Amino acid sequence: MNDRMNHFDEIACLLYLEGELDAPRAAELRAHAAACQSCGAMLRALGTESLGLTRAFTEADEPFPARLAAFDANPSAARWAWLLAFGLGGAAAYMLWAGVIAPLWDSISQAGFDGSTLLSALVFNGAFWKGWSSMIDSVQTAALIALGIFAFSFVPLRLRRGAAVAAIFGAIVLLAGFPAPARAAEIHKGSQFYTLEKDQVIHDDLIVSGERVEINGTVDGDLIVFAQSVTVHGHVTGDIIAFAQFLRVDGSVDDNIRGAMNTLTLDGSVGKNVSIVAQSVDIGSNSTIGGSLTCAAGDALIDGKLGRTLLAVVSKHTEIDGSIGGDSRLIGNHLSIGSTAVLSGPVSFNGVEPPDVADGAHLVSPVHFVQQRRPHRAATVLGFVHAVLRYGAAVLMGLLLMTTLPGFFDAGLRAARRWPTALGIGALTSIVWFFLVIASILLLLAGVGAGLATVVLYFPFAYLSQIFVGAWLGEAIVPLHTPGTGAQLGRLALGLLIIDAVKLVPILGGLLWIAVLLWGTGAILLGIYEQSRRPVAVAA
Amino acid sequence: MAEPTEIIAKARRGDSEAWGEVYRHYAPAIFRFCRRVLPTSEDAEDATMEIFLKLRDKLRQYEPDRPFSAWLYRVAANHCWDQLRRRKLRQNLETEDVDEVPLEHPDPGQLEQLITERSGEDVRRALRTLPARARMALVMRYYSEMNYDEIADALGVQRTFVGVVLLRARHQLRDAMLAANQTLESRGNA
Repeated sequence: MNDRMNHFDEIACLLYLEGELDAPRAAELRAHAAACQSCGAMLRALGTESLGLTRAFTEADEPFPARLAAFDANPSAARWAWLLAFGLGGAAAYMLWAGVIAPLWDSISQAGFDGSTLLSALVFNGAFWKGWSSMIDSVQTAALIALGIFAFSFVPLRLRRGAAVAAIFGAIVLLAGFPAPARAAEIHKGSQFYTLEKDQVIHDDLIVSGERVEINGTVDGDLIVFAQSVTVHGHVTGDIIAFAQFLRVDGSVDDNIRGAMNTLTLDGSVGKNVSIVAQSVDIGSNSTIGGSLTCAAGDALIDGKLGRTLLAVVSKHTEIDGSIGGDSRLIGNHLSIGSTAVLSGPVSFNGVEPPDVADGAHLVSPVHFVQQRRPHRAATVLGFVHAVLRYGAAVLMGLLLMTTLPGFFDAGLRAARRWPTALGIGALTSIVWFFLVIASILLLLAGVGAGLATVVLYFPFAYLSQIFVGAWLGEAIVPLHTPGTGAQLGRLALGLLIIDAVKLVPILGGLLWIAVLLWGTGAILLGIYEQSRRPVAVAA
Repeated sequence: MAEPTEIIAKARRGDSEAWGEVYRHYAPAIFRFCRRVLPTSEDAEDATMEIFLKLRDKLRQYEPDRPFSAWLYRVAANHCWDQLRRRKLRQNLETEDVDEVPLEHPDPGQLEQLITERSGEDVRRALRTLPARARMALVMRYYSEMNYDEIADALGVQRTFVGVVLLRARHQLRDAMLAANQTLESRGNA
């Protein structure tokens, strides 16, 4: 009680109204308020305030969210989904390893990359290009930043501050860990013709672009070239990395030849390996390759001497008249082995027609021939099983998204409903992505690693795009507001089934696939954007 | 809201369908509770789902002689308060000494006028600007009708302070509504 005014104060009035005053004091206040206009008014005002608060708080001011209406409060579904998904994921990982990675790894090992992992071979040993580690340029940085932003968007908001600090320190450590930039290369560009004269020596990497490039002198480093026609009569102590229409090497290369071209003609010597993509490959009779030849080509003629293995995917015809020191693994249409051929390792050929082996050819064992099946893969039982597995995997991935990232799934689905926007953003992003890939692969300064990183970054988007479009399609066909993850999963399964079915239709299926890719990519990006825009909390 | 005691009992015995019914019965109220105390609608949605997943595991701990909704709100309040505490929203209130908060005697007429003139939306908007503890206290008391013991337990304060916390919260709410009113008036004059 306020002694000076002889009134009860506000806290006493509140406690009285809330039934929290002890009985004698409550009786005292009741008696006082009956006689005191001020305290009576205070009691009434506080009572009105309490009622006003209750009314304001209990008003249904916003609809019950659809996500909650569809939520399955029984966690058992999520548990079996997790178990199933992890089980299938493990099986899929094993199949991927046993069916794809392990054979590929064997092939790569036989092609001369043995002794280290693929990653370290690509990145640290400079198997593709020695200058890779020093070429952390803008495109690579952009690809890494994109990857970082993508990963960061999945960090819960409350952890972001800590994650950002960790990322900054991590980046500093990584940057500190990078080797110092290699020596600067000598760069020639813009001129139509470039010729390195016979008595000239460049004690550096040489990067050159032009219509016609001729190397008659010595490059004491790598030769990196972008040209219509490239001829190397001279000596390159490092690698030749070429993107050209014609590449002819009559001289000597101490390390490797790598790149993409229309025609490769080799009449000189290569100390290590040749790894190329070309329309036509001609390894002349005077040529020697100390290591392996790995190529994807339209036609291949191998007359020269190959120190180690041959790994070739040739769409039309392969002819071998030279010598091969190691294994030969070929995939293609037709293989001819001439009478002068000396093949010191086993030969396997996966082709359409049986190989022609001339009488005088020296082989350690008969060619192991595996005939390719002509029927369309999709028509086979195996193809059908694969299609079903792919479909099941997509449905499972959708279920995983629903249960583990429901906010992201809902945001993506909401974005998919705004299909013109999603399609537009997907198309725009894909165009930018495409140019980024092309730029980072073909513009040699960027480094192939950036292109690979960018392509790899796109895979999750490409895969998940079908899930969001499928969920939208299922929802459009069965617009039932049935609660529960099960109903939502059913709609997703229906949508995915329709997409997979339409994909089988020639032309229309391809167009649909592109539309789904663009639409879904846009929806994912919008979903990520929406999730990232969720405000952090209002500060107290 | 009448409690579906039969369904709750079935759910306690592990009936998944019954638990689904319980969810559909109570989820809107719990969502509204979360919506009042947490900063965003997405937070409230997340919290609602997490609360019900948590409740599913705790269901056997529920004693049927007590109201189910009271137990539900208690779990919800603890969950939301944990969320807010983790985000350090109450950082500047942890050390606040409620004894030092001045509680001036308001003019009852003005107070009644303030309350009656404001819409529910005005009150809710003002509520969102309040510190976390004030928001929690008001919602626990005037939305969930939790008693002082439960509020004290959830907020981790002594029971004798609950009245002061509530009154302080009411004062802050009135101030917020007055400030909003003044902002509107100044915009109108401009």
